[in-house]
Amino acid sequence: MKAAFRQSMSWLHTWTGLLVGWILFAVFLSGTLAYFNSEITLWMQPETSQTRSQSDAVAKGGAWLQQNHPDAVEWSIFPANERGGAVRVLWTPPPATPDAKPVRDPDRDIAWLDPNTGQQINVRDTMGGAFFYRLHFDMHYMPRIWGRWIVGVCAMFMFVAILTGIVVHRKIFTDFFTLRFNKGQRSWLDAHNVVGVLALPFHIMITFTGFVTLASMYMPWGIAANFANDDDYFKSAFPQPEIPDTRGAPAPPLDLAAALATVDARWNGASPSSVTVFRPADTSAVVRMFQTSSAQIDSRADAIVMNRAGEVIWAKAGKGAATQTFGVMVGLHAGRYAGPDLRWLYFLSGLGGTTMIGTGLILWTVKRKRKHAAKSVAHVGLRLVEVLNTGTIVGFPLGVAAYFIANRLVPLDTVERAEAEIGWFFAAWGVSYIYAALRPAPRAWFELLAAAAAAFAAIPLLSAFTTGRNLFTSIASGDWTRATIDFALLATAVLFAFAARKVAAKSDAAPSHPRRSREQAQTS
Amino acid sequence: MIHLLGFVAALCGFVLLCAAMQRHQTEIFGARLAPALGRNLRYGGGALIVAAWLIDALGLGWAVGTITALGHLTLAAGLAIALLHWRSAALKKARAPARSKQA
Amino acid sequence: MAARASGQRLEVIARTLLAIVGAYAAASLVAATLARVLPGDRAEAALAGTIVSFAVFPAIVMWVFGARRVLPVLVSLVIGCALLAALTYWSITTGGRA
Repeated sequence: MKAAFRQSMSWLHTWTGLLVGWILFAVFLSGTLAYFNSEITLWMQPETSQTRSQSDAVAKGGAWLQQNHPDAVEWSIFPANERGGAVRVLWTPPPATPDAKPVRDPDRDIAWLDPNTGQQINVRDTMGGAFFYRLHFDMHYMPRIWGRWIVGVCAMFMFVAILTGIVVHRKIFTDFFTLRFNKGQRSWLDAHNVVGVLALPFHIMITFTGFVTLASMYMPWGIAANFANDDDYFKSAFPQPEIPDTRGAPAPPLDLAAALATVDARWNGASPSSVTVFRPADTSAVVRMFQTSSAQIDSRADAIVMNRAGEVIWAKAGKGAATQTFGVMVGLHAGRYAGPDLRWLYFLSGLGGTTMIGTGLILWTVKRKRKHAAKSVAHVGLRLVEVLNTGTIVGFPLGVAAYFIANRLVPLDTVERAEAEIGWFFAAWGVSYIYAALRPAPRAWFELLAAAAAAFAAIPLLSAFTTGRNLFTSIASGDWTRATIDFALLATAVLFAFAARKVAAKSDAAPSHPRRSREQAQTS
Repeated sequence: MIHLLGFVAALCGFVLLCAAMQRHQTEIFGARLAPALGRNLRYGGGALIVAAWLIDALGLGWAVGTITALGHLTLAAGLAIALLHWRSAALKKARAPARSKQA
Repeated sequence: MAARASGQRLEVIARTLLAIVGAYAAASLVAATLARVLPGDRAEAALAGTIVSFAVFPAIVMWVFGARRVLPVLVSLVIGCALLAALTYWSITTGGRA
């Protein structure tokens, strides 16, 4: 009975893992990169300096709006956190006639400021690290809701694969340190087990909390049982600040100093991450601030509404246990609270998860290849999996490299420039599948790995030629965030070069050469 | 600083735990250790793992400290595996010429 | 031989269907029932039930695939779901929703 149970769990593990493994690989890797979303955006906008103080960046944004758009009916300030750079400010100009409804032109009524000088800067149009964050759960080129359902279903497969994996892996403690190299299938299994087991708390946490982030979408029935419509639930569970809309008399444009002093005292120095001022040039002006999400694990940051004098007119009520649990789970998943050290641990654990999926996919083909080689028959399914493996495991990183390269090469005045960069990502990734399908497996692995190595190595060079910044100037000016990204890109290049060499050595030793020459002889 | 302390404690803990396992002892020492010594290594390793968690928890607060400790344990175990690999490769290399001389 | 293979394939399809439909139905009903019966604030109860339901789903998937025979699982799932559905339905009709 026990053996039969383990066998069925093994079957379930293999198939749940394989069926959605490629999407999971992309979801895991993009999510892992998204832990550094602000840093990546900073790298991709070489025009800005790095934020030294988020609160100060808000003050700079307020001062700029005060001076340049004193008559606006609404201001918004979105500072980057201290890991990022440029401040985004938006405003709604006054309507042409007093009775008309004020309208904001999304293309014109926006500016970017340097967080430290407060001067307006021309940053390139890019999604930066936010692209990986969005890709992680929205996918791309499809309605968001589809992407979220696809990712959710795949994540449930992942969850089942993790749990069955624990059941199947009999000797978790005996095999804990076991990693044998150059033993073919055995080595792939060892690697799969080791990365799976070592970061197991992370894998379970990240998968479970992943569902929780979109809980009410995947599982709306708990809410449906208690509320006749969703809005009532959201209003009850997550009350939003109410903005009074009574008008006063004209007044000089609002100075944010009073409001900033209030939140600084209330939040123990934690900064606001999003600020909106309603009717800044009126005595009835109202300031709404959301607290930055790096202040606590709970992702549902505090919010506060103040009047012109900085007096609190609305504050968030205390939270219930379930709401707090929910917020902490989402916070654990997104890791916005994490300082630099913990952020790296998140990143490495994410890479571990990505490796677990990748080695699992490869293990499937290695196992079956041996079986089929014995029978010496070609197998369509095996070939398909192999192409998808190569195109995903090397193709996705190649796409990442293309995205970084595009950020430096796409002309700055390109229309829809941000989307053009993303186009490079998908083009490189997509071409990888075609390439993998056209070349015999070991060659495809080698050539794509080599291409990825070259592409990653090229990025810091291109960056040095196309922007004023390079690795040396970054180090000299103490710009460690950009320098670290350049280093990481070079390290990735070395890693891919190493993998390419490994594959080349393997395929030279393998007896696939005579067969290939026979095929060539037949075709010629 | 807390991060370094927590990580080093976790790493030492895993190295001891690894050395406590009979199957890895020949890879590390070239011979098996006495069972009593192995047991002590295991207790010591376990204590260091707990210590790593306590260091992180007391230094960074229970919530963030516990999360950080799990990260340190993951990273430390990975490094311990790498150390085991280097050690056993070095041991094999050191022995290979000796054996060929015998032959 | 062929008959056995196709019988096996049929069973895999049956278990897969039961795992997906059964697990989602059971998880949904657990979420809904907990939302009704947990004490305290209604939004809190709904959220707590929803979070718990994500652990119910994989547990049932593993049960469906791990059990030696499918039929008993199917029967227990149907009975269990029917009980939860009845309880939720009764609770909503007598207590109403917000």
